[in-house]
Amino acid sequence: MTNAVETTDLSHRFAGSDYAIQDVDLVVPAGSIYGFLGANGAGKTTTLRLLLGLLRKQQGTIRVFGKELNQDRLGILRRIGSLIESPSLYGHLSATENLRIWQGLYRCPAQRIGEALDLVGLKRTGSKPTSHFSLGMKQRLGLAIALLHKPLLLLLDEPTNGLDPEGIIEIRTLLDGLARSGEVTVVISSHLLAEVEKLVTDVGVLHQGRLVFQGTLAALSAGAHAASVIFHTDDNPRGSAILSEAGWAVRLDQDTLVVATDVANSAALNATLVNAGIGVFEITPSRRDLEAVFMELIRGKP
Amino acid sequence: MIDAALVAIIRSELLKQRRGLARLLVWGAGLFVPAILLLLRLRRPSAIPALYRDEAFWDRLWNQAWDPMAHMFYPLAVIVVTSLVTQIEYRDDGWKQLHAAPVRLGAIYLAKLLVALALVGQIMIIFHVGLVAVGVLPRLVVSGVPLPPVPLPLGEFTRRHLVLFFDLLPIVGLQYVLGLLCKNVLLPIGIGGALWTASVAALGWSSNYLLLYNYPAINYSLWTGNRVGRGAPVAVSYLAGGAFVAIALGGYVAYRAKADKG
Repeated sequence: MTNAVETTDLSHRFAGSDYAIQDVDLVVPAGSIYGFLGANGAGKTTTLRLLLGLLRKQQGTIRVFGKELNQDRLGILRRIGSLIESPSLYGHLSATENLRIWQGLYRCPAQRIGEALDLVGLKRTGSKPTSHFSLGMKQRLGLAIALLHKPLLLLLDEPTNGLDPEGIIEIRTLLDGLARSGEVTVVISSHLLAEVEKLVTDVGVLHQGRLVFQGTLAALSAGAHAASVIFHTDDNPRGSAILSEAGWAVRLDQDTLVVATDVANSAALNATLVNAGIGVFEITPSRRDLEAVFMELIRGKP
Repeated sequence: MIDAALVAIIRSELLKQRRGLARLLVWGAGLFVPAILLLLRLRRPSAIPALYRDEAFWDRLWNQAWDPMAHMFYPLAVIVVTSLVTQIEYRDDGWKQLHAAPVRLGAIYLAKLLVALALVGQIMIIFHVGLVAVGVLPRLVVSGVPLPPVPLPLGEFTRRHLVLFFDLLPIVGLQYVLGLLCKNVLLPIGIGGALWTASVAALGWSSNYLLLYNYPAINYSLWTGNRVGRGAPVAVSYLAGGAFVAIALGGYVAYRAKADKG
């Protein structure tokens, strides 16, 4: 499978400050929904701006659809749709007029304006200036601009920022449908990890400007961190010793016993403890979602 | 042959100005002086017939209208309108989307500059029509007003207006470049205002042609016979053209060199 985006040793530093990103080797498989994760200030937006040529590249290489960005900037941009941070909308113009601006520049058919508005549910906004739009409507119009010319690669920087739960679900459904069509590769940056978990196939985790993980979502979830079961007992040190002797991977965490195992083994573990005369008050299966794994990833790095 | 991409970006830039503040200012700037003159004349209808019997009726009208326009209103309007053309991208956070579109930087730069020039040209056209209307309308409203003894010198008026438009090009160029490079709209407008004030203060200086914002006033003074300064080594309009080209080219280099494009 070819890659939609590949960067090698991509680094960028703003004048008078440390590296915003350093040695980032991004690999976004074609047709994937790539979750680009990181806390605020991790360097996600800087990376996306470099991919679009909005920042002058200082170090490294950027290849999109197999071509160097510097060598075929216009050809590459023609195939990219983007929404970086807040949407760029001309507030005194209507949604249709805003789209007409980009329709001309991307030279796509005029009928795409109606289709894009329909896609994001803004077809009935008429001549209302976009400055009167709600945040969610603005965000959706930003997406319509990004989708207008049917791009092969969508770069979306925090597209659900500021949306209410209903708006988040709408956007997620929209992106999910787009990505499942297989015609578009989506790179979606977010610090709302639970959001991305439900959408993405691949993940890159950026921490303090460095890519600390890259791979499939399954690899991230199942990687070094298995599921665990947490026991509250009346004698944690003895319980820990008994379970260790029985061959379980156990650690003491504050006033609990944490056993690295699947929840299916919790009954057997409980029986072992109870048979040894240890009172068990509570058993909590701990499912590591992407957020937990992500937090550990970035906490584990200096 | 005009590039299709350039036509597309010019269209999109014109669309951005629809219902925008710059468009409103164009009409305001073009009609302000003619409207004041018309009101002043209509306030004293009894004085109108005498005005129309004057051999120098059109010359007088032209001077009355152009005096405040050349010295103040037109340069100030150009400063504000031109700055607003580029500021729309900063105001609406549009640079990042525009620079992520498949459009050459040169086309973006040229399209915005052409739109700024078109708006400045519109001020001139509206003013031109307004000026003629000031000459024609009182005759239609007030009875007993004769035709002026001399016909409307439309060709001469048009020629002078074109020359004055040319004289304004350095202001358009400089304000455009400042607006393109400065995020805060107050900065280009403030710098332009300061340069214009300095130019007005130095209008009587022998080398006043060194100040770009003086060119309309210098040419206007030549036509009215009140020459200011010792005169430029070449026609002021040539200086204006040269300065405009130099500023526009320098501005493009600076625009292209910007490391952060949105």
